[in-house]
Amino acid sequence: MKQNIKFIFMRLLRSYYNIYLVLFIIFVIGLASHPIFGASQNLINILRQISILLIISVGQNFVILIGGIDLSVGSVISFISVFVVGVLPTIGPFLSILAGLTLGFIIGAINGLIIAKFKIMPFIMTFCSWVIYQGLALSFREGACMNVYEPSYLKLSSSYIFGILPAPILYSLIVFSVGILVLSRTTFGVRVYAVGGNEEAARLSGINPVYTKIFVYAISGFFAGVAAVILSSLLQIGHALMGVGYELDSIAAVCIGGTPLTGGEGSIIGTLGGVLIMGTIKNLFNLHGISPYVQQIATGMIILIAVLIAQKKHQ
Amino acid sequence: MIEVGQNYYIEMKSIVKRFTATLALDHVDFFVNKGEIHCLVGENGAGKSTLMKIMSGVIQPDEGKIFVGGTRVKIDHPSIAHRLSISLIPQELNLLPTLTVGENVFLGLEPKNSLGFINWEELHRKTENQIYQEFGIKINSRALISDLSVAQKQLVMVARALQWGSKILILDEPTARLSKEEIKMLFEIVKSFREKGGTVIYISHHLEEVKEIGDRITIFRDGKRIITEKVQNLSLDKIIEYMIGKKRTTRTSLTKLVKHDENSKKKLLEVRGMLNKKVRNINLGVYEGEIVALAGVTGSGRSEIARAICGIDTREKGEIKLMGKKVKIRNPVDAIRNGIIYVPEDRKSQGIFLKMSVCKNLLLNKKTLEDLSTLNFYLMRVFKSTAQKFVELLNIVIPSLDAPCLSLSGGNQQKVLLGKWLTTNPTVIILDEPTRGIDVGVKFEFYEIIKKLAKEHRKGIILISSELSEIIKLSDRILILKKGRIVRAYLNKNLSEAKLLNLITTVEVENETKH
Repeated sequence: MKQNIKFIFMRLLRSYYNIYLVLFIIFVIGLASHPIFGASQNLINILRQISILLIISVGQNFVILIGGIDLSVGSVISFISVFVVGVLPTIGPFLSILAGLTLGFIIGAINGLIIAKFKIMPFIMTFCSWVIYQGLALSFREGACMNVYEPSYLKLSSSYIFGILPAPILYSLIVFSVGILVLSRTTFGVRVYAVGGNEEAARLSGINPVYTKIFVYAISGFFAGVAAVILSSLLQIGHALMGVGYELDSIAAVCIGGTPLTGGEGSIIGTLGGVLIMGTIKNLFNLHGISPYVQQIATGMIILIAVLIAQKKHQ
Repeated sequence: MIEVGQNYYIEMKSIVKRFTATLALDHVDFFVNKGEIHCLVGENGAGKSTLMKIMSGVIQPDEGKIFVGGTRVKIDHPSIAHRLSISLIPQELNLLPTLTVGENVFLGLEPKNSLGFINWEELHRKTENQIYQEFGIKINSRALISDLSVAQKQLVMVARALQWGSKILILDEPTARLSKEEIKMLFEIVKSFREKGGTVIYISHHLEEVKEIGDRITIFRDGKRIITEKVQNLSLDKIIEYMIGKKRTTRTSLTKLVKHDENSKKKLLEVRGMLNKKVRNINLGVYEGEIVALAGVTGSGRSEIARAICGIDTREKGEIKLMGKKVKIRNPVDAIRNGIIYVPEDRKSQGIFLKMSVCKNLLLNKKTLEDLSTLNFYLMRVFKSTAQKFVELLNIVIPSLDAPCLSLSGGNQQKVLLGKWLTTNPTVIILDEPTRGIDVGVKFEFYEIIKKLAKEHRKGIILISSELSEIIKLSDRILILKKGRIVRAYLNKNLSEAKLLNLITTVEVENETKH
């Protein structure tokens, strides 16, 4: 058993060596350049900041594994946050969260259905969804920011586990674990890799690429719903621009994590590395008080370098 | 045969080409005269396509010299072949389907007006005039390539080659997908090209075509040039003899149409009146423990029959019976559930998941995945032990079960592909080119496996193969295909390779036959 664990660990280390090496280097730079960076409070802070991105990226990872892309997640987050906060006073926290998650699932399933059935390019389809749900979010109460007053809803993300770990971190770890479990221990996971790796061969093997795609996009939509609930509870508002940028950040995280946009290979463990790299860079920039404009330039370049290094893992 | 000092237009001397283990071309000399139609024949894998790829710069030889018009040349890129006026017209025509005829003909050479913009009027007028003058055929230069017939596309390819100033045309199996009238048209085009001083190298499986159009012929066998001769000096039988090698002229039992003793064996699969765009009125049966071969040239509908049976392509008509019971097969899932499986010919694009592990590849079909899991969840232990069983059964050489299929040799990949389908415990197995691109040793292992599946495990097997020796060696019954129809059926008794080759290349489509 012990050997088995050691073997698995070694394999993981080999597969994701480059990604975590990049993370390690950034970490060392952080420790050397700023005294607060290594403080436990700051590290927990990083984890809380990345929790939303991690949840989105797990969904995005599923989509990219089948060779697709989901550009709609950001505006779906905005739309669902506005929707959930909007209906919260009327139907209460439990039902509104349930409705929000269901809505995310359905939105994703519709994306997948149209992509798979009508053979629309995923980029085009999810781009259209992006615009549509952004418009819907803005037209809901005309884009006004809505405050959350419901205490139990706010408690969702403001509570601490064991008095130290913020709840959003726990949620993101649950999503992360479920993602790993589904991809590595279920036949659905096998089908995802199969459809992404060779759709025609999958079809000849009796695997229906249409169902697989619909479900994969639905997963992405569902996790966007989860992220919307946590984010609106964390920020205590529902806002029509809340999710802006998450779609591209999540795609970047997945790519840094070693999943190629063509799909068929890669894993969520790599994506975690990608998310951590992005979160750590941002935190470090903020600690150093670097202007947001310069941050953008640097982030773009660091992602490029990270992807270049991550791609080398095949050699 | 080859006289020293004679001036040939193209001379390829002592060409050697190796592909990993196999010697594709073994010191081949090949000489072409100016203004002749030179036919290249040989069985699949004899080396003729490889030689033509070398001539057109697609691949490079390991040894040997090439002379064009007396000067030594090095053709290490297709663009150099273009410069030498050599154009290869491959089986898969590489035209741009969304552009017009004129745009394709003048691609990269568009006539410009004084402002430097493309002069469309002139481009289309020139295209139409040129094709009419050269070949006497009227074609609309503004038509889209995707709307043309195969013969018209070939015409456009030839016109484009002329536009590039080509003097040597290499046609690879040009008639595989043409109707009789279209073949006639193609021959006219080729002949008028020769009249104007052009040289044509013509690769074909259809020997009667070779007899009709060729001036000289070169015959290949096993990577060696066997003979170059004037076509009129060789009879059909003689050509076949050179292609096959050993002289076998057994003629017994050839005309005997198969009559099965219906009671002696269980009929596993029966197909009646199957019809779609690619296959016409297919009737066939497969008995328990029997290997039925589908033989025919490229484009005769071998794979298409298999795909229609398994519900991969749609059927317009026809019923399928499995062990006497009528079954509905609308898609691959139905076929797998009913125990009919198709092991596709193109391993890389239709079969294997290269980036996935051997273990998962071996189990990757709907039935096996469902059998080995509960509510979608599976235990790695169960997966591995099942996969391990098939690795041992088929003697697959792998570094570990977790290794990606990418790291395996072609033969082992093919075994994984077969193993994946055997995990479903099928009744009828359709093998499409099961030994293509694998080395000889593994090939014989495959023959043993296939025989064992039929004779010991009592499966019904449909074998599709371009290798006639394989068909002769393995099959009990041979169905000859031509243009999507089964035209003849023979018991595999005393059937020689030569005769089989003769049958698949020369037999004409008759009226409806029953099998």
